[in-house]
Amino acid sequence: MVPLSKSVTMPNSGRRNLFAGIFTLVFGALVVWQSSGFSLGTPQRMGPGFFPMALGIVLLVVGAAIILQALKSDEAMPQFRLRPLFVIPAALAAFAVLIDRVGFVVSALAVVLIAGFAEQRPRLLPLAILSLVLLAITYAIFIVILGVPFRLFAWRL
Amino acid sequence: MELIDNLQLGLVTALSTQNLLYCLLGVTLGMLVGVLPGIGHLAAISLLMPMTFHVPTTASLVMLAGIYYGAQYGGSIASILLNLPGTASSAVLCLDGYPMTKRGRAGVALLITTIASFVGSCIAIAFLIALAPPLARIALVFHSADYFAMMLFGLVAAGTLIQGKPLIGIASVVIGLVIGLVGMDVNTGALRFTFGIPHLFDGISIIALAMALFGISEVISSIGRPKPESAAYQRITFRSLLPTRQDLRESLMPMLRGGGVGTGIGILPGTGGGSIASFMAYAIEKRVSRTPERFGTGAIPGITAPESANNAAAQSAFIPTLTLGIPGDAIMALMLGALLIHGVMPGPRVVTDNPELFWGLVVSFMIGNLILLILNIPLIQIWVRILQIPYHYLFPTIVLLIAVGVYSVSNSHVDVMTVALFGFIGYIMILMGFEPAPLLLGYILGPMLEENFRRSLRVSAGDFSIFVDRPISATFLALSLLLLVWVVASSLRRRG
Repeated sequence: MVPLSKSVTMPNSGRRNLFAGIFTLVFGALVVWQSSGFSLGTPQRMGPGFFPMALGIVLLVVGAAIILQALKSDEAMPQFRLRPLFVIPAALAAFAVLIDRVGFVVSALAVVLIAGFAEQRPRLLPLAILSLVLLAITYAIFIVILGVPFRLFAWRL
Repeated sequence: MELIDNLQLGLVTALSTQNLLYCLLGVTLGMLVGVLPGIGHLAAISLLMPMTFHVPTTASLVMLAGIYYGAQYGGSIASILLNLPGTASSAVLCLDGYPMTKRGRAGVALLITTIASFVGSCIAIAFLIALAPPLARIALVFHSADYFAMMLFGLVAAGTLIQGKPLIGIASVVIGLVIGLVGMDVNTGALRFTFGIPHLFDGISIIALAMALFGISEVISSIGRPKPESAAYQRITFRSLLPTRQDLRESLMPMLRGGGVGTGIGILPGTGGGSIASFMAYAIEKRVSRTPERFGTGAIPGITAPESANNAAAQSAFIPTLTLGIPGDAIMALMLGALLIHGVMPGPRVVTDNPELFWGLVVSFMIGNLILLILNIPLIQIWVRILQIPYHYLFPTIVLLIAVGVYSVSNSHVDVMTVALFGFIGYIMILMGFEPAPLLLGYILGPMLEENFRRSLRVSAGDFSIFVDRPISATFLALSLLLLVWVVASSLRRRG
């Protein structure tokens, strides 16, 4: 579970729920939009668009309800740090982009090095050492023990 | 007697060298990962799940199950020693477990917890053995409309009962349903929401989603958060592990009560597996106890009952998952996903078509818990030491393991990209108050829900009353409606 600290420094009128409601509404609208491109069919012979469309409509309704409820609540958005939020997914994305192009070794090193920057003050030397150690460990687990086919080095840019 | 035969089959299967080995591996790995604070045990399972794919079916399920209760126990270790719940369900253990550590009785707490786990699982397994086959027979009466209504109830329950605002919980579920629909629609061949990406034709990878929602979001939120001082580094000798006779006498009834509560709750689809069960068991103990003031300062019933309930709920959640194909909670949903990937169709057939799988799994629960009990005695020392690893080193490890693990499942970089994307969006959603577990449940059940919906209407020639005509279906629909109304009404009342 993700225990987050709620910060209620000043009375925000339910901003947290408001965002949730807007998100739901927008998501629902997107779903409805995308499913309208498919045939709905009849209840007896349902087309691919029927169920998603129904779900989209439910989301629109629920989203509206959440927004209404938000107007009466006073939950603020919890505190969070921006840095890890962007850096960690970036590290993963780097792996995704690199793995098929430059192989396992470079990709694995990249992930650890990039991820390390999610901290306020990354310690570069320990990080570099860690990346080498982890490279060895994951190599041992995934390639040697489990036999997963990974290309170690590649050059297909 | 058929039961004896089945148990014999189970015993033979579970004790085969291969399965035994994988059970051991699963339990150990599970404990290791579950102990690490910052990884919920759902994330632990998602992390280790890719490793199980490269392994034959029964062994992989045995290993997966082992990882599950191993991780759960690992979470307990973290709660007791560090006041850092490794998992939501072990959070209760912080209340009385950590005070015990502060009083120097950490070893006793840990050992008694292990015993409680074992007892809890035995109780649940007894139920499993007794109930599974009859349940399977009942399930044969189920028609697609009934499945639909039951799944709907499970989803509504998940969305409304798991913490947070019920409306947002429902939204989480529905969003999950939509995500589950991504890919090719089996009935019509249409490609939905794939945005032209070929790999998505099969849908979004369950591992990627689970790791993103639970593992990555956990990591993101944990980085930079000040960690509490590691508990006084205690030397835990074997002698100090042994509980006094008083302790044992105090823990018997709580363990049994906890086990009962856990089994009862775990069987119901949609209930949050371990967390609800352990909190309820704690509350019951406090109310039943003759010395309720002791709770919070290191009362033994305060840790034995929840732990027993926890484990019992975990094992009994397998019942609806295996026999009906309805996962009891998010973790069972993952297990269901694993089963499907291995080509096993859960449902009433599973008991008869794959008896060695089913009974082997059941017996392996017992064996796994026994292994847990035995292993931990010498290992507790090591766990304490691992807990001292600074988070600086831990989190890059986790991220790398996730990246490599997810990729290794289908050699697809799209999966890893999915983790990145859903990790980002998922964390933001969690900040907004959405619940990841109901979302995952929705994702797993989405396609099945639609399938049953379609089938029902096809059979009834478009007549919606089929859902109300059939008694089982009508009951579940009524329950869902009642639940919805009750939850929304009480939340409105609280607003005032």
